[in-house]
Parts: sequence; structure tokens; C-alpha cells
Amino acid sequence: MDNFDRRSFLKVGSLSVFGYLGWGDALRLRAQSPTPNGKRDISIIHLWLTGGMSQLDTFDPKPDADTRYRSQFKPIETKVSGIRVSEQLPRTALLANKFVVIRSMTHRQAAHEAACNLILSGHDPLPTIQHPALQTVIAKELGPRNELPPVVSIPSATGSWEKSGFLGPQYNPFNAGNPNSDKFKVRDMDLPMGVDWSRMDHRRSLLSVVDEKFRRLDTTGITASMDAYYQTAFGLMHSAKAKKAFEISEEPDAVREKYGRTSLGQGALLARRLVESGVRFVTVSRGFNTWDHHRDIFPLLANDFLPELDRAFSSLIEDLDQRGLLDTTLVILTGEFGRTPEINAMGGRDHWPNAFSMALAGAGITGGRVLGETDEKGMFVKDHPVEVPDLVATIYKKLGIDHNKEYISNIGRPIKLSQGKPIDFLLV
Amino acid sequence: MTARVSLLLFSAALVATAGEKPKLSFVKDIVPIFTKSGCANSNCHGSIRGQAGFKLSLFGYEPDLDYDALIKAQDGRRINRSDPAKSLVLLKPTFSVPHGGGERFKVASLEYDAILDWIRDGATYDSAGSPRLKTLRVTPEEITLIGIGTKHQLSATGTYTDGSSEDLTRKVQYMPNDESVVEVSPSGEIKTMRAGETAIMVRTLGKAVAARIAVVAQPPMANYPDVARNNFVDDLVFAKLRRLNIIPSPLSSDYEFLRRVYLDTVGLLPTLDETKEFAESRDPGKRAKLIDQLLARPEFAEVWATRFADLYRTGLLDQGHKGGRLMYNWLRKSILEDKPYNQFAAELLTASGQLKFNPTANFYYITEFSEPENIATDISQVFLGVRLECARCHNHPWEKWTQDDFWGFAAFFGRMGIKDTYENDESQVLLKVKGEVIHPKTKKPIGPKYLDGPSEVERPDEDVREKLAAWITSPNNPWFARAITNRMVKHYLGRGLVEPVDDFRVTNPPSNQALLDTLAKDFGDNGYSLRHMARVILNSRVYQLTSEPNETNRGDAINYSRYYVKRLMAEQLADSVTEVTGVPEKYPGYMLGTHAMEIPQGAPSYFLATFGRMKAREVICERDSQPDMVQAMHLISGETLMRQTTAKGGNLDKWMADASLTDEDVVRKIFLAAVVREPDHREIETALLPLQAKGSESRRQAFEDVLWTAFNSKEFLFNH
Repeated sequence: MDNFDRRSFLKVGSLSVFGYLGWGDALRLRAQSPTPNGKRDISIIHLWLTGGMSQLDTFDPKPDADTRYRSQFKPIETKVSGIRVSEQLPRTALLANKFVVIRSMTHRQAAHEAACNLILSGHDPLPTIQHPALQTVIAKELGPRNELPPVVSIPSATGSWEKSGFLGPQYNPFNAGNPNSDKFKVRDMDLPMGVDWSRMDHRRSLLSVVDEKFRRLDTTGITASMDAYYQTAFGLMHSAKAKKAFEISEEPDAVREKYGRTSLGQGALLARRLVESGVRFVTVSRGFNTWDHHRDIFPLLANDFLPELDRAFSSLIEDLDQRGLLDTTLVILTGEFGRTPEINAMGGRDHWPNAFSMALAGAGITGGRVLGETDEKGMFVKDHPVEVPDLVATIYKKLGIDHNKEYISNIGRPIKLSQGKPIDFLLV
Repeated sequence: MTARVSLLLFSAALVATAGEKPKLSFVKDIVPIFTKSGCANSNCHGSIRGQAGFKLSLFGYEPDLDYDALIKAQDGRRINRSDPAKSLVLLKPTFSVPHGGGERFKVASLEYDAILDWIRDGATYDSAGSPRLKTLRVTPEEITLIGIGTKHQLSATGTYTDGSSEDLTRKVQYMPNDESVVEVSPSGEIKTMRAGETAIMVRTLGKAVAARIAVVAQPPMANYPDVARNNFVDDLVFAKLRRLNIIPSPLSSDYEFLRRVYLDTVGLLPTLDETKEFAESRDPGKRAKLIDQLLARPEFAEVWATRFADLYRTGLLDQGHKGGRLMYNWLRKSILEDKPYNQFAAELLTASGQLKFNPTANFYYITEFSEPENIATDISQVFLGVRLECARCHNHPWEKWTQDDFWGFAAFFGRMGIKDTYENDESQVLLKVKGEVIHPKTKKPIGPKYLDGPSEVERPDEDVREKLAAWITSPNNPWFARAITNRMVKHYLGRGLVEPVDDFRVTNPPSNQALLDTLAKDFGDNGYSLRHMARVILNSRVYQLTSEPNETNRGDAINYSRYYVKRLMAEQLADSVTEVTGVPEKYPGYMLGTHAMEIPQGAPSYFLATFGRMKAREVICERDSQPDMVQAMHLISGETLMRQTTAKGGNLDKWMADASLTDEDVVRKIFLAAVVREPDHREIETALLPLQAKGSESRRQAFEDVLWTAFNSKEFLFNH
């Protein structure tokens, strides 16, 4: 019933209620001190292009391919000679020295749900086991840094693959809502109207008197875990600074425009604010399956998706860099798979897990490099194939989490965090 | 149960006298070594992909593949016929050369010698038609051991297809489900570690059985109290508790029982009048009478319609889909009429036709029911409590299910089809003229086959599902009645006899086999009446125990020695709030005041979604009952409770306007309505603190604070 890690909650409790570890202190701690094993304390922002981003129209252009395959977009030079990307990503191109591209991602899950499961957990899905998403494993292993929840999804988790599966719901991401809406506000974060803190304190003291009776009945520890949720919730509600992290309206208009007034743009900006304030992992998406361009892929990409992505990704990297946060923040840009090189009858591209591209920046990764290569059509991986479990193992390693650690799954079967091996390319 | 210490520690083949060694059988003598030594585990060479290029079948269920892996794979480098002792299959496990799995057995051990002898003899496979292991048995199957450090010998016997049997005590692998309760040596000797219960899985050659062990720290109590009993549920539960030296908690108070039985049976709290009447009644049979009254209420059917709707995943239909409502109404009506559950199930299993005229057809329409294999896994899980999923891709390692079982079961649904129309309730579930299921391994069509049973012949002019429905609902079906019994027990007693509730397997035995069997039989003997079974459970003293633990039962979480606290379902919670405040909720698309429990599908409010009303069934078709922070935030400051506590014209205003009630009386009303008990002195005092301030606004606010507190209290959020 309750496999709650009480220690991590005591930690939160002590920060939010007793410790009064100031916000500035927390930030300084996070920026300066290495984790006990000497690693940088890395945060992650995932630009989550669910539905599947076409590699050929973005990071793996094949201008010489047959017209049946060729993108309508021309490749352009980037800041790094030898690396070319789609002309639809001009801002991104200017920052090519800041990120790496993996062009040789490959797996075998061609259905959205299965591929989402794989890419976020590092495990091929099994019918009987609900693998936890890596962000929830991070929440379990590292806990929250302060009053803010450790894992946030913007606008909300796109599906069960983004949740904690057999670890239990306490590690599920906190859904922030859509920061691109005018009335954006995180739900239930302020006291109810007409109730001030002195009244709420009275309510809490009455509640603690009433709850004493129930405590005697509880042998499972669920009371303690619920109390911890209340404490965390009150901590968040009470901390003006934690709440402020969600106040995207505090950003200057110029900054908001630069990121783009789009779901992904404002989401990326909010993600930066959250990471800056102590959130460990932020997922930013346009919603489930939005990149699933089975028809009219070129107008959709050119008029909507790629300009949005180009602004959001480039602004995020620049912004993090200028604030000195890029070194401790890993930015991951990927969908669950790529799209077929062959253009279908409806002018779209279909699902293609055999070869696809991913971009990564920050967290000590030396930018301006490309890993792997696909064939002349972008159909199959020619060299350095990268499997998802290896990628996930790399991420755990960067965070100082032992990817060989085993969890006992819901069916009693031990499951390693990842069966893969960290990728050297991403460790330098 | 008495212990029988086995003296036959060595199998005949391994202790044959010198000079006339019988030839070792690969299947009987060699394959078991890999299971016993852990090589064929799922986290090693038994995994689907194998390990380091060497793949064994999981726990030796496919010896012929294991033979190929040893002899043929990678040019047979694992066997060295010219110098058998230099065979990789001996060097690796003895760690004579580097081995990722470390040392599994020693040079000159029984295992080592057996493999060596087998290679010297030519490393042959058993001749065609040689006997295979048919059944595996462990003795004792169940035992209670007294004292920590106590030892006890298990023994295992195999029966082969030729009728011969063999002592396999030394050959099988022993694995306790909970290693902190007992340790088991490779030769099958148990050593008790702490008080508790665990099953020990015993495996070889793809077969698995379980021995159920209970460890009690002290000898039986001399002064064990007499515990009153109401019916056979009590006999069976208390007999086991006595064996375990656990004394059940005392009977619940009237208040405690009242709130509990209302929530469990009708999903609502008792009204203040109902509470008063019950508390004041001197009738010794008042609990049984109340149970009968509650079981006759329409809300009893709504609670179970909601449970079944979860199980059948009607939540997967969009909010506006009429099918969900049709299905819900059919469920509610069936339960209200007390339709025999075997008939109820048969109607669902054989459903077809246009959705709007055939509510049950939604059962097949919902979700990805288009593929026979999905239907098969769902139906076995829902009606039989058997998970077949693993057998879809490989023979089930912990169970007897093979891929033939799985695909044979799926073949019953080979002709299922759906005709989708734009108007969703005009869509149709139909039987196609032709349809077949292809076995993924043989790539050939496979005919219908019952689980653990014979094949069935499907005639072109019949709906073979009718035969399947008859097989499923037959009194001889070992799972059907037990599966629903287990779900009933889970609903009322807070924990299934088998957990997870839909995972019946030999290696996952029930916590009280006799109780499961007897309840299921009683259910069948009484016309498969769900209401009858509910009545039996609710009238038991076991159901009516207090939830407060005592010193002997604090650690018990599986034997029903007290009432286990459980979280309210989202609907119970929402409906309880509106009942206390007297402020009706309005769900979009429903009339003002509609109970959440009456809503057929989906989550039409943030509150219901947040507290677990399901949008879609997960693989395990149970709701998530764990709390989370979003729930806490919504209870603390969400609009639902804000509206409910501040809206004018509800019960609070009524009580405040009643001149005969003092402030203290109003606090009492709130407590009685929400947590069905009187507040104590300290609670009243704390609640009344803000009332020392003047003004009617602050007076109302003080009571709103009490309401908020009541709704946020654990006593309110749980049934206990």
C-alpha cells in the first residue's frame, strides 16, 4: 500500500517548515556545491516532441536523396562547419557549437505508446510491468531540492509513460498547466479566497487534534505519507519564492517574445524558471502526439512546428548559457521516434523508429559535434547506432545515479534502472 | 500439520553405485541443474535475450532449446567432447574462467559431476518419447512453524509422463517470496527467520509449485480468548488467527460500524437521523437488519455498477458516448435484480449487436477489443483472475500457461468484429463469417482451446463463445466463482485473499485458501447471488471488528484480524461531502444533485479525476488508491471544498439558524455528519476558539473551518 520513502519527506518537511533554508541559500547550494560523489548537480529540461519529429526535415538533412524522400527544406550551414541542419532552424543553426546531434538513434517500437514508454524509461514495454519514467526515478533517487516538486510536466504529463509506474504515484510529475494561456495559474497553489494564513493555521491546528484518533488505526504509514504531502503542499503555498517560480508573467515581454508565444516557447521559458529555482526535471510538450505528421508535413512544419521549436530551443540554450546554468542543465530535444524517409500519398511521413535524430545540450557536453550517421536516404543507421537504454544510462550517470541499481517491479521481478551502457560521446 | 522429514535427499540417478552408472538423461538430470543453480533465471541466461550470447529457456521449460543452446549454438564451443572437463559449460559456472555470473557450483560437486558424466557419455539428447516431467509436488504444501531458527525439511516429488516418479528434493530450485521470513537451503531445508508468512516457490523443468509457510515466534497461547462467531467466515478466519497467535480486535462500536457499512454498501454516509435511530435502537439484531435494508437500496447496485464499469473499462468511452451509460444502466439493473452472476457473465461474454439496442455489446466495443488476443487477456483477467499476458510471447515461467494455451484461448474470439459508424451508438459488434487466429510460432491457424483443458471444435453455424461462456461459468471452473469472490472480499474487507486480485497462480496462493473455497462454494450454492455473498461477509464478525489494532495483530495485513482502513473511492468522497453540507454538486451534463456514483463513465469534474475516477483502465484494472500532492492541494485550497463549505442555504445555515442549537451543538452536528462520532472535549474547545471574536461573519467562518477540517481529516478520507 505504501512504499513511500519517508526520509525524503522528512527532508522536505524540515526545509519547508522548520529549516527556513532561504531561497537564495538553496540556489547557491545548488549552483555551487557538487553532489557528494563530486558530480555536478544536474537538472534536465526535455523538449518532448511527441508524435515523432522528422529527422530529415530537421537535424539530418539529405538533400541528395530521391524526390520520393527529399525534404522540401534546404540544408543550411551552421556555426560549426560540416554540420548542416534544415533551413527551418536558422536560430538553432547559429548555436550549433552549444549542442550535439545524435543522428543514429534507433529502436524497434513503431507505435506511439510503446515508443514513448521506451524512450522515457529506457525499457521496451511489457504488458505486465509499468516501468517508471526516468524523471520519476530521479525524483525517487534524489528527492526534491526545496519546496518545489522535483518533477514538473508542462502543460501536463502526456500519458502513463511520463509517470512513475510501479514506483507508486508519489513520484508522478506535478502538472503545471499551459503557461501560454493568458490566465495561466497553477491550480490550488493559493489559499482559498477569504482564508488567510492565520485562519489556515487555525484549521491546521484543529486538523492535527482531529487526526490524532486516526493515527492509532494506521499501521501502514499512510498517515505519515499524507501528512508529508500536506506539509509539502503547505510549504509550496507558503513559499512566495517557490510560487514565484511559476509566475511566468514576471518575465519581461521581450524575453517572452524571444521564446515565442507558443506552448513550447512559453513552456521552455517556464522550465528555465523552474530549473533555476530548484526543480530537477521539467518536461515541456505541445501535448500528446502533436508531432504526428502523417499528412501535409511540410506546410505544418514550415508554418508552425519548426518556427516554434527553433525559437524555443535556441532561446532556452542562449538564456541558460547567459545565466550560467547551461553547465548544470541538460537540455534534451527528442520525440519518441523519427519519421519515414518516404513521403506518403498524403504528403506526410509515417512512424520510423529505425533511425532518428536527437539534440542534446549542456550538462558538460561539448557542443558542435555529431554522433552517428544514417544512409543516403536517412533510412537506416550506418554507424554508431545508439540505443535508448544507453541514452538513459548516460543520463543516470550524469546525475550520479547508478543505472545498474535494481528495483523490484510490481510483479516481483527485479528490473535494472537501465540495461544500457553510458555513451562516452555524451560524457565529454 | 506434522512435518515429514525426507530422507531421500539424493535422487536415484545421482547416487547410483559405482561401476553401473545409469546413463544420465539430459532432460531429467542436466536441465534441472541450470534452474537450480540460478543460470536459467529471468535475470540471467533465462532472460528473453539470454546473457552474453548464451540463452537458456526460463527455468528449463523448453529442454530441447536448451540442448541446442549447449550443443549447437556458436559452433558447439560450450562442449568439449575430446576433453570434457575443458567444456565451457563446466569452466564457466565453476569460475575456472571469467564468468559474469560468478561461481554457481564447485568442481567435483554433484552438479559438476553430473554434467561431466553426461558429456563423457556423448552429450546426447533423450531418445524420442522418453518421459517428461508431468507434475511436481512439494510436501508439506502448508505448514506453521513455531520459533525462530526452527528447521524443517521440504521434499519435492516429480511424476513423469510414463507414470514413474522420482524424489526431486535435491534437484529443484527453492525460492521464498519473502526471504526475510525463511531461508531455504539448496537441499530444501527451511530455517525460520522471523514471524510472518511466505510462499516458497519450488521449480524445475518449467514446472512450479508453492509451499505456504507460516512462522510463529511463540508456542500457542495458553490463555487465547474465546472469540464470538457469527458465521463460517469467522470460523475460518479465526481458526487461522489462532494458529498464528493473533487475537482479533474487538467488535466495532455502533458509530464505527454504521459509517463503515454505509460507505461500503451504498457509498454514502448515514444521515444524522439514520445515525440517531441506529445509535438509540436497543434491538440486538439491529446490525443484521440494517445490512438487509442497505442491500435492498438502489445505491447498492450503483456501487457495484461503478466497480464493474471500472473493470470493464467503460471509462474508456468518451464522456459523450452513449454506450457507457447503456452499459452502466445494464449493470445497475442486473445487480438490482440480483441477476445470478453466472448468467450476468454469460450475457456479457456472448454479447453482440448494435450498441444502442444491446447494452452488453459495449463490453466488446470498449477499448482495443478488436484483436482476439486482447479480448483473451481481458476476459481471463476480468472473469477468471488469471493473467495470460506473459504467455502471449513466451510460455509463462511461473505458471503452466503455454503459448498454445494463450493463442488457443484467443481463438474463441477469432470471429469478433466491429462495424464502426459515425453515430457511435449505432456501431455494431458482430461475428464475422470467417476469422482465424494465427499462432505466432507455428505461423499456422490455431483452433479454440480451453485453458488447461481440451480443444473445442467451432462449427461454422455457431457462436463458439457460447461454449466458452458455459465453460467459464461452469461450477467446475476453478477460477470463475473464486475470482469474483476475491473481488467482493477486497471491496468489503480491504484486501483480496489473493493479491493482486486478478493474479491467481499456483505461486501466488491465497492468504486463506479455505475461506476462498468456502465463500466461493457458498456463492455457487446460493444461485451466484452477489447480494447473498455481500450479506454473508457483512454479517461476519470479521467485517464488524474495530479497525484499531492490538498488540498481537498490529503486524497483520493479510489475515483480517481487524478491519483494514482503506481510502474512499472518489465517488464516495464527493458524495459524502455534499451529504454533509447539503449543497448539491452540478456535474456537466447531469441534473443538479446527481451523485457521483450515478455517473456512468469518465471524470466530469476535476475533483473526481484527481481522486482516482478512472479515465482509462491500466493494465492492472484496479484504481490507484494512493494519495498524492495534487489531492492534498485540492483539499486544502481547491474550489470544490471552498464552494461546498461557503455556499449558502445548506445544512450549515440551517443549523446556525436553529435557535435551539448552541455553537457547540453545531460543531457536534458537523462531526456526527462527517465522521459519525461525537467530538471530544479538546476538539470542541479548539473548534470554538475563533468564536470568541464577535460578528456573524466570523461565526460562520468558524464553522466553515470545522467543515474544512472534517473534510481534510483522515477519518473522513478513509473508511475505517
